[in-house]
Amino acid sequence: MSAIQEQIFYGRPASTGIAIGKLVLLRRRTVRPSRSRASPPQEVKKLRRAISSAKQDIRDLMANNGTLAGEILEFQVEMLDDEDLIEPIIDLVQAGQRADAAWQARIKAEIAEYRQSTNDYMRARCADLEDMLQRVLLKLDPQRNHRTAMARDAIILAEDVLPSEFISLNFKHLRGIATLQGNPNNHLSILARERELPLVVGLQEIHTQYAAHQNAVLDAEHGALICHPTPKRLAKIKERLVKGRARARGQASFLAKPAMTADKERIQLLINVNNPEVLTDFVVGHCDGIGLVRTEFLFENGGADEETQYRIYARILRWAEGRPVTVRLLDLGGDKPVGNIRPLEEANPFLGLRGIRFLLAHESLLVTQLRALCRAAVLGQLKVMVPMVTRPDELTLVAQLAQKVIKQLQAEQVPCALPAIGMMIEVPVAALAPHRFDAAFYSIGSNDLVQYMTAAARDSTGPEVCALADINNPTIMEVLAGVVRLAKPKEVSICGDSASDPELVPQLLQQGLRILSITPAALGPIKKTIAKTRLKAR
Amino acid sequence: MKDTECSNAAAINDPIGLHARPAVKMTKLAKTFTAKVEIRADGSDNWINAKSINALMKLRAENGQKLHVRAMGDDAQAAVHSLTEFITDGFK
Repeated sequence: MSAIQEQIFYGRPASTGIAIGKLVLLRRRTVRPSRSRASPPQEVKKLRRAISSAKQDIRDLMANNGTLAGEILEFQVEMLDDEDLIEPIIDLVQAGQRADAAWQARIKAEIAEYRQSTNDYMRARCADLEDMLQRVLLKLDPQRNHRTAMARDAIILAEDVLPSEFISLNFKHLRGIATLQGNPNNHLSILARERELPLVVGLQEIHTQYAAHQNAVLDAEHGALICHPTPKRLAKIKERLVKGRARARGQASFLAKPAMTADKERIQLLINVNNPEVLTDFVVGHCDGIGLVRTEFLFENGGADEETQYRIYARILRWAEGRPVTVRLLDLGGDKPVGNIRPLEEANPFLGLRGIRFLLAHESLLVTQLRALCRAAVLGQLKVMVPMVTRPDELTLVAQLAQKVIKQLQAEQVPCALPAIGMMIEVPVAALAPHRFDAAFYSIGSNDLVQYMTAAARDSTGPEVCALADINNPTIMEVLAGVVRLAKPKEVSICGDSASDPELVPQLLQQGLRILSITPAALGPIKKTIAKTRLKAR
Repeated sequence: MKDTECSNAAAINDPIGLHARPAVKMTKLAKTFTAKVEIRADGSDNWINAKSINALMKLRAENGQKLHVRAMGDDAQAAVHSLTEFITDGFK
């Protein structure tokens, strides 16, 4: 074959890192009917076997992915168990239709019906049905199965990857992901950063078909996908990888030590947790606790009941071994339309019914979460954080509800404790006057605070606008220092992306912040940065 | 033995309505009974099989919506009782 030209496609970096591998297309596949055809009884047998084997696969996935992913997948198992759905298909096959054709036709018709629904929630289930459709088709045609098996050192190229698709990927051979759509603030990006998997999004110029199976380099440090890299390019990239590993080793020596500035001031480094599955491979001793547990993932597949929530909070608290764990109440709305719950079609959701506003409007969700949290609070040092607080009475209402929940639980003789209740500082009126709020602690959500203070969206498609949403603005820095000063003696931490950025951390420390809650992958680099930072003038 | 028939009604008590997770739970609960268990949304004449997740999903039942439950078979009474309780208790 003649040499193919190297081609570089640019997108936006969403999870940093470098991957060298082969491009694998991940599509919602269109399936061609197979050529072979057996007798109707044989086809029926084949279909039944395919369905039961698909079910087994999903059960295995559930077993390996913990509660959260498991409950998302259970819906598919139940669909495959639905006799009203399956038996009519079997009848058609018995009457002479090919198993794959009959299966595909019926499930596609179901998907079309779900998709037509005016209900966002029903439409969101289409991805699950599509997943189930493909799973069974793959079982019916083992050859097709072989084709889609993940190659070694795979770099996935896809239109988009859904969070549910992401969890079911085979991470053993996966080196990176490049998507045509998406932005660095979507759920996929959060999941990829948590896994430290390189991800570039928004690669609009590439034709996926053309790129299949090519050797490629995913440079997620610069947001580039390089197809068919030249030997010279590969050598350079490998050199960067080697240097990166050396740097990582250098940081690893900091990782196990507590964070300390050059002039021996101890900084608390907490971690942000989006998905408790990540904690399994993480050494608790490397951090001082958890500064932010996002709970939106619990609600991905609808609501999470009290028991499910309790189990997950309990697991996190046990993992923390007595270190503080701050759980943020469900923060729906704005940029976090959690799967199916999209309460209102607002013209401007960022300024709408989100965070605590949404919870107070849906009190039963809030009560369920508070019950689970108060029960878990007996297991460790649990703190509860209220998102998007604008007025002091919102915090008071949450505190009163928590008191009520405690009384209920006590009446039911369920062990419980009242966790400390604090608030996020995201809304400018809260940032300018934290002392007006009766909070046990404060945590600055710098992503939203910066957007609200600059009236600029960080995920705007216009680069001019993105540039304005910059924390590195003297006024914002003064406001941060003000929060620390006005909140005294209460504790103030910062949990936005800026706290995970080595270039910004020295400045944040200069504003008086001594507690940072960061993405787990940033612990090494941030400890190293802190060690080089001197707070007092010599 | 003669089949017993039993019915009752309850309103959904979950802000998100009858979504996937409770629907999964409901089919599992219905399957613990040998009786034929059926559900109908208030205002509709169409009884659907409570043991079918797909049929339950298509009810698109929202918060506050009243659901009628009926069952036929030996444990019909227990089935109707547990399902209505499950609906009233916010799918717990």
